[in-house]
Amino acid sequence: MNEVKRNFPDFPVIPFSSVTGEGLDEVRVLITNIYNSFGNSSSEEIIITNSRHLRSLRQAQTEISIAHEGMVCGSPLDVLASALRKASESLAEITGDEVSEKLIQEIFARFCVGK
Amino acid sequence: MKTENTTDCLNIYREENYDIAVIGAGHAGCEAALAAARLGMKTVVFTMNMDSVANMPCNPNIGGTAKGQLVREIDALGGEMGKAADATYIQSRMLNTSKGPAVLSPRAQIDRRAYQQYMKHALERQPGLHLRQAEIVDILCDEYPGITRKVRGVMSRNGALYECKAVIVTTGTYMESRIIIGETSYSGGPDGLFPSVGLSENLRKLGVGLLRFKTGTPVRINMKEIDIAGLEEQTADEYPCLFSFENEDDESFIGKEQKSCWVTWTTEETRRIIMDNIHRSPLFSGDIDGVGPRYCPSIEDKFVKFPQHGRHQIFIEPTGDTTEEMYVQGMSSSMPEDVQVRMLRTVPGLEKCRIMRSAYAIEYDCIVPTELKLTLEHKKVEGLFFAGQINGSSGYEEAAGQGLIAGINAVHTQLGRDPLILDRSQAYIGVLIDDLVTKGTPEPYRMMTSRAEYRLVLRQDNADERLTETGYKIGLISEERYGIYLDKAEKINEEVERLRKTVLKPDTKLNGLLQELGSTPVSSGTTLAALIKRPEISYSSLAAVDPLRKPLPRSVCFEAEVRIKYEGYIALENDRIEKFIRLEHKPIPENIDYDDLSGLRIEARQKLQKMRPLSVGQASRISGVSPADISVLLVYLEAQRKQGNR
Repeated sequence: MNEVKRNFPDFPVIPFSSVTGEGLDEVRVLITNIYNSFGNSSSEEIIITNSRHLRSLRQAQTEISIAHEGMVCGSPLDVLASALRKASESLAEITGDEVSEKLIQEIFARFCVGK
Repeated sequence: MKTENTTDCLNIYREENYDIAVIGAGHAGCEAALAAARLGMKTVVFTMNMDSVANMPCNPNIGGTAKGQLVREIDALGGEMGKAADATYIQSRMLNTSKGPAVLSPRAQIDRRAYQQYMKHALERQPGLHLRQAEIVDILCDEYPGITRKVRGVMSRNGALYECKAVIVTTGTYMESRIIIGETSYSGGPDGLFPSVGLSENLRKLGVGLLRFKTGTPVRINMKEIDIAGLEEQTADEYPCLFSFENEDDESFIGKEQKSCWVTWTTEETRRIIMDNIHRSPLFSGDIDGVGPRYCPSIEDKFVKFPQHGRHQIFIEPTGDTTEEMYVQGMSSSMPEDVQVRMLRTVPGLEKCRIMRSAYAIEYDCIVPTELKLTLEHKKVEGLFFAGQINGSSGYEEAAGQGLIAGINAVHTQLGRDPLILDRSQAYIGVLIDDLVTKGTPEPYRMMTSRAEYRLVLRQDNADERLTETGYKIGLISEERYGIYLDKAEKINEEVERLRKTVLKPDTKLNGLLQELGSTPVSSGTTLAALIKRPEISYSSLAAVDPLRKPLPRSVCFEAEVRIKYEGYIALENDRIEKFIRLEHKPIPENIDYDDLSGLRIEARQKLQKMRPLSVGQASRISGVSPADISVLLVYLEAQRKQGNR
């Protein structure tokens, strides 16, 4: 115990046991404090806890700005669609949706493509 | 070794032996047979009716959205469909011209009989290929204990036994097919032809899973009875958009006399007749079990499912140069005949029409495509390939694309060459086969541009750039044609370079032209490329300020323009493809035991165990396998790799 304290002088050290429950409350308070120290998060905010999700969100953001820029300078619809599709796919990596199938359902629900 | 024989024919006799037998000479069978024979295999192709080779029992057209891209790819790989369509079209149009380069799709109305004649003749002339009228009722296999079955030959209804090393099944909608017209139904194939009886039962015995699908076709009517006075005419493009890269700059096609299509609409009366008789439609009375296509519903389906649309568009399309028979696109139906004729006559222009051929629904057996490898060989039966509508797809172009790939792979397996598997970033054909084999299909599968993730790269104009090299290496593209392709590629590169390097002075001539084109004037030197990037400016509109421009083939100018105009977007698409390829080319060891991956969810484990994908990319597209499961798989593969390195 003392050795741990000596090796990590800048960190709080809390002895606890998940068997007896000793010190667990202190651990909870400490984690909450660390978390709150990252900024004034309210419960309204979305918290990203998974680095894969973070990557997907960043990817979606990039693609949406590509589509937005394209729209502003009058690029044809199919190049915008490509970026938007990738954005939805990135989001779908988090939600588990099947973009292609949903898109096709949407198309079929609205009109007949014909053979 | 035990030999299975499931036919009870009395007069069995030995016919000639072949390397490859193709069952069915529709669009898939023709491509498969031609590819196999051209690659040096002794090939036989069977048709149940010599006069129905390469038939178009539904819409007499080739191409259209996403399908046009497929035909261009088939052509770049050395297939026949594009050339056949170019030789026999009666109307050519480029679709989606206002929506951007990725969705531009060539479409042609075809002289149906001329097309069949062309294709039959191509089969007949092909050295090494024998076209034979016969119904194949059995596929004979050798069975090796503990291992898979292996194809040994095929047997015809008349008792002829053809030994062969590989069989490609391309039976379309014929297997155990049933025609349904209202309350009437009978065993029958498309177009009044015989169905194929018994083959699907024998496939089932070999362990092949079967599904039941349904499709339909509208009535045919006589042009002389149509009153075109009030109808909208849809004319052909001035410059035909040809499918084959061999023909694309051939001026001799320009000026060919072309036919028109006609547009009309259903009326309130059409709706009333259909709704009054809806109980007589087998689709609603429950007489049809097969799953039909959502994208091509029957007219009664449309009125029921889209009540928000008061009327539906109808296209009247010619079916040939030497016939008055017209196809009524949009009125596919399985209503009884008496209802068909009544509803037909409620449509403006068709008031006096009589039916030449009735509309009908057709139900047929197809196989469970997820039982196939990406080569289109069955996972459980060595040497047994499937292509076309029997794999649950729909459409002539989808069939031809699969036929070509199955033909090539049947040959490559014989010769011990690497299989041809196109991935989703290389071709619509790759998207098509991967979708069918990896995801399966709940309904007849139609290709759509929205199915392709990388469609900015999978364009109809650059199919040669994507696939000619592959076709050449396989041996289906001749030395001469490869040379022509390389020459075109060089011309495009040179022109792109020139447009990038040529700087125009901001003089009054240039700014006058820019103003004329509705574009902002320039105040300093600008390259031609920079101007072409503006949405309102085209390559051709700059001719007046570009005196050094050499006369170039239309295809070269088009390609150079697309490359410059969409440079940024194409680069972004290529970045996306690079990421895709990383997973796609991460192989999964063939002997992997998914039970070792403790983090997988049960559904994912079962699916992976059953499907046995070749790559992590393919695994990620199996329904029921989530991104989290893929992470587990990646971690496992990485750990295995490290262990292996130790």
